[in-house]
Amino acid sequence: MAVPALIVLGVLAVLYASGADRAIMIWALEGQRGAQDGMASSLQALRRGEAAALTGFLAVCFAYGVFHAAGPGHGKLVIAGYGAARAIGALRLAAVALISSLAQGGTAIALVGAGLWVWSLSRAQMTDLADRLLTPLSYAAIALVGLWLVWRGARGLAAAPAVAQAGRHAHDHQPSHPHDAGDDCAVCGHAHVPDPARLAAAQGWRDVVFLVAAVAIRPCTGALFILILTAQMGIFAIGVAGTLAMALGTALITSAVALSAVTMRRGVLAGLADSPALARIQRLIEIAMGTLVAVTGGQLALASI
Amino acid sequence: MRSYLRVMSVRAALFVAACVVCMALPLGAHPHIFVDAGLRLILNAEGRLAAVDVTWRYDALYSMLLTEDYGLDPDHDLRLTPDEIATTLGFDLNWSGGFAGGLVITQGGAPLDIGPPMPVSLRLLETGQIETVHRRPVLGAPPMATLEAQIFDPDFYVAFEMILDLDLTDAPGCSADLIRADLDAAYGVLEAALDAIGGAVAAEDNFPPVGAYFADRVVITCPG
Repeated sequence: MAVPALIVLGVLAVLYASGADRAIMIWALEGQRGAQDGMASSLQALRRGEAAALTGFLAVCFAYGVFHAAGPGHGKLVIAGYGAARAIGALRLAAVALISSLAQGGTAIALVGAGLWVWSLSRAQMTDLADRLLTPLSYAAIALVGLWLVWRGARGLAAAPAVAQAGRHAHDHQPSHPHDAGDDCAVCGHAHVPDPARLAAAQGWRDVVFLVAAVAIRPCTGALFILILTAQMGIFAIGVAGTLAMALGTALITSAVALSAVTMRRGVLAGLADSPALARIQRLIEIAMGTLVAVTGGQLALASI
Repeated sequence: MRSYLRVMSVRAALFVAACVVCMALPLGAHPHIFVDAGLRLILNAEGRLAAVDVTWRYDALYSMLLTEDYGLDPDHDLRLTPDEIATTLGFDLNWSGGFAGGLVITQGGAPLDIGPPMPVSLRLLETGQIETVHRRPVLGAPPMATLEAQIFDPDFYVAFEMILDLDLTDAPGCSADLIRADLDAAYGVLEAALDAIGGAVAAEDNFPPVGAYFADRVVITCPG
């Protein structure tokens, strides 16, 4: 199970990295209708009380998640931007993508659950809440991630000339040091503090929490559809299961994007391994990616207000 | 609902949200709703195009959402009562925000003047799909010659396909040809548009408005 999943992930990551991401989107556009029809027919069967339709429903929810995430959105921008900007382990960023997707499903479940049974909201009110409040919030958080990258890049750039040598020195002598979030902070001005590894790890965790939150604030409307429909049909638990299946499908795409972003970054930097400008180039990449994420996130936030 | 329309940056989203009053819709403009469309031409006594009946058949999932939203068919026997039909008819004709029904008819290259919609019918099919028909008057049409008709959502939030009947019984002597969209060309345009915004990964709610390139075309040829 794990091996085929990794192979699929790898293939998707290569497609994203090679610029075939548009081919994936086209495939997703064409698959979406089939997935949508499949969800409808399995929901109709479940409504008729055919318990056997549950497996099919979960499978088609998973597929819908894949197709849907391969289209626009679902945090690919911020995940890819972060992976390209910062030194973070590929598997760790893929895990962040997975957690983000599940948390996004969790937001939808919490919103519909609380909306229906605590606040007695109508569907229009719930989607209003999601679209008018949570969507701008999510984009604003994405823009903040971008600004945070820019700020750290700029700060590192300012400090780089003085510590670049020390940083490379530290790096050379710690070949087993895990390539984790923030590990290149060893070259960005923290080399003088007592325990740079611990500091980097702490920063990494803070980043992870913020990344997950930025993606998860905004519930996927496909999940809202399913949850509200199943609630109206009296099979909300099945809707929750379908939402989680959908989130796993979404995670397949966002994880692949994470892998490809990290791989591309490594590829670019590997070609510059002996360059004295390496530290500075890392900072410039961080600033450039941060700017892209901040500008796009900011524009989307403004457009969604 | 009306207020949430404002937050949508794309016209198509405006249309869909407006046409389905209590519908929950995600932002973003890749197709979320799939509609099979059909046309029926109605000529007046002078043989000019007087009106067009437009059929929209919603995809099964969207139909389910509509059915639940409007409290239709609570016993799931796929039969609507006259009362249910009467109260729901016309639910998808409240267009606003720049969407004007998606129907474009040209004659000799010039677009015809098409009036506001009137609801005709609403039914629930055996597949669970909701199908509605509305009539659009055509104003000041010249004598019939070769017409081209398209139904599409420019922002591609709704993917229309003109694969239902092209009914010419009220346009004697005319014949129709359906010319499906050139998908290769359309995807080429989409690729270029995505490139311009930084690739598919950067596409969040800024999905390019490419509906026109994915639009089918019906060419209707009449004598005279």
